[in-house]
Amino acid sequence: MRILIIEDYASLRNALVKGLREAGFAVDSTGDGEEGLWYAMGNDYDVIILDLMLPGVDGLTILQKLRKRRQKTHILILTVKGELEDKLKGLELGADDYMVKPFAFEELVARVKALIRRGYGSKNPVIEIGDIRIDTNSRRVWRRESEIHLTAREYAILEYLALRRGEIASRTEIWEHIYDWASDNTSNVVDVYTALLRRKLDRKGEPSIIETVRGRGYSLTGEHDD
Amino acid sequence: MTIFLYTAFVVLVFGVAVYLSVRSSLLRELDSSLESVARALSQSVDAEPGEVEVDIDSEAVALISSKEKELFFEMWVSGGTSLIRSPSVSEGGLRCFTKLNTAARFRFLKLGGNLKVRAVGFKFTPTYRVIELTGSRSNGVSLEGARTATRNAEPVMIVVARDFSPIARRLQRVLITLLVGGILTLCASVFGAFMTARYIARPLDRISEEVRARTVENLAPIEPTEPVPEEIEPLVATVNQLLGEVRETLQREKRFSSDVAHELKTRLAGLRTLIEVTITSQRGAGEYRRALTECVIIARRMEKIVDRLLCLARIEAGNISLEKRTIQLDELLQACWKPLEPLARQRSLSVEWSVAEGIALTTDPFWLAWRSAISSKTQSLIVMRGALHPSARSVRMALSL
Repeated sequence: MRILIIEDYASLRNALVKGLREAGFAVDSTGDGEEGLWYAMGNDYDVIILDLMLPGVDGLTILQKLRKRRQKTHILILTVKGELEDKLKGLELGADDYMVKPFAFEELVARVKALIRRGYGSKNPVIEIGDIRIDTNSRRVWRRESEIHLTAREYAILEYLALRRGEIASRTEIWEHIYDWASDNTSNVVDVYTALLRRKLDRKGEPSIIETVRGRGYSLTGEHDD
Repeated sequence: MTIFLYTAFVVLVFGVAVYLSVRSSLLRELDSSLESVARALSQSVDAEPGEVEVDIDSEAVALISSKEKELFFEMWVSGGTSLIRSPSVSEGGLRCFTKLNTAARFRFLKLGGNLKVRAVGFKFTPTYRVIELTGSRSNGVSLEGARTATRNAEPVMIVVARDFSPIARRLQRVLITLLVGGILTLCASVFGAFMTARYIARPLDRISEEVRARTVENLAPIEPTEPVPEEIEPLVATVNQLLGEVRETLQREKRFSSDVAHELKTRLAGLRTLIEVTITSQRGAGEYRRALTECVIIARRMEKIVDRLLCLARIEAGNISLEKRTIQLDELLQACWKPLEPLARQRSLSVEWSVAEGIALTTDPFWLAWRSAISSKTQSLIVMRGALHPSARSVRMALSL
């Protein structure tokens, strides 16, 4: 899943980028409001973590402009402004969540994951598709009772497809949600990782859990429970 | 109270002055009348050699006395013999002047029955004429060379008195009138002053109420619902100005507290997140060292912020005096731009200078913060213009008054 961080304090921004990448997210970041708005409008992020007191354009203005464009990206405000009226204002202008600094990093990760699940209409952190169980909190995958060990990228693609189960995700969409600007990537990286996933998930004689829709992208097959 | 006392004093002084004036006038009139009567009576004295008598018979005296019931009089010669006296006066009853002479003297007397009278007394010397004949008795008296001569008779004292009661009653009426009038005037003055004071004080009371209603949360300017007297308008304007200054100060303090909270909380958040992220998984020594080094940097920055805050607090308390210096703003801009030139060249951006020279500012040492802010903004400008407008070729630095 891809996250944009708009935070002007460099030390915090770098720590967040590092921590969220280690948590398995693709992360873009900027310290300038205007630049952040430009990134947000030009890319499809799953979550934007937005500071309010920014140079250039302030956070509330960014929020209003994004909502005016009917952009459905989930926005989590992360700010020192902790008064009730500040929280109300942020939420009423369209923020999906509001956290006050300083904060627990774990809590931030949990809230980001909750927003992502909400974005894809999934309420259960554990996604079951057929006999595959994906725990989005611990980032672990089981097939029946056996755990399947996936790399960060493999898991990211699987999770994305699982959240969009029943839908076809194009290569571009998968790429945009799995990779950030800092990532090294090649044009067929999605195909490569999808093939690796199939190798780990598929069983001999059974259809692949990942279906290729020619010309359109990939989709997860199998019965699924919410 | 002051108005009351002042008015009472004025009314009292006025009243006393009027009373004394009226009394003096009445007395003068009475004295003049008494003296006229006395002089008239003195004309009725006939003198002959060795004899002085009054040419008014007892019937006339009784008539005068019955008509002028308040009039008392007595005339006597220097030997003490009474020539005439009013019936109600006992002999010697009016002889209270210690020494009489030709000039009229006036005084108050108490007659029998405690009757207060105003009396006038003087001495006069009746005269008579004689014909002095020439010759002697033995040769025969002759009228040739006879001449008349005026001879003085025995001096006569006269005292005429009049009952002072009518005058006293009139003076009493004047006094009562003055008292009542004075009290009424006093009351009216006090009431008028009270109403005037209330008229002036009512807007002051309203303004006082409005000021009392002002709290830290409510520092709105006072807007009187009724027109205020012209004299009160400057007061309202001054109070509103003060409220405005207090409002600005509180807002400034609020902004300052908010800025301080922002600065410290943001750094705390950075510190905490860095530590929490670092300890989420096992890392190499190098990574721990880098993280801890970053923590130290953040801690030092927080320390600087706290030091600056303490400095500001000391400045506000007057414990530190600031040395102001004059800064040339064009030089400041140049100094901010210089370190960014390589970055601009890297992004193929040139600078257009539209900076007026000679604009100077006298300020405190916190101009260094301006320098930092200008540098940060300029850097951001270069980065953003390069990213957002790839075709942009220059950055324009403009400064004017």
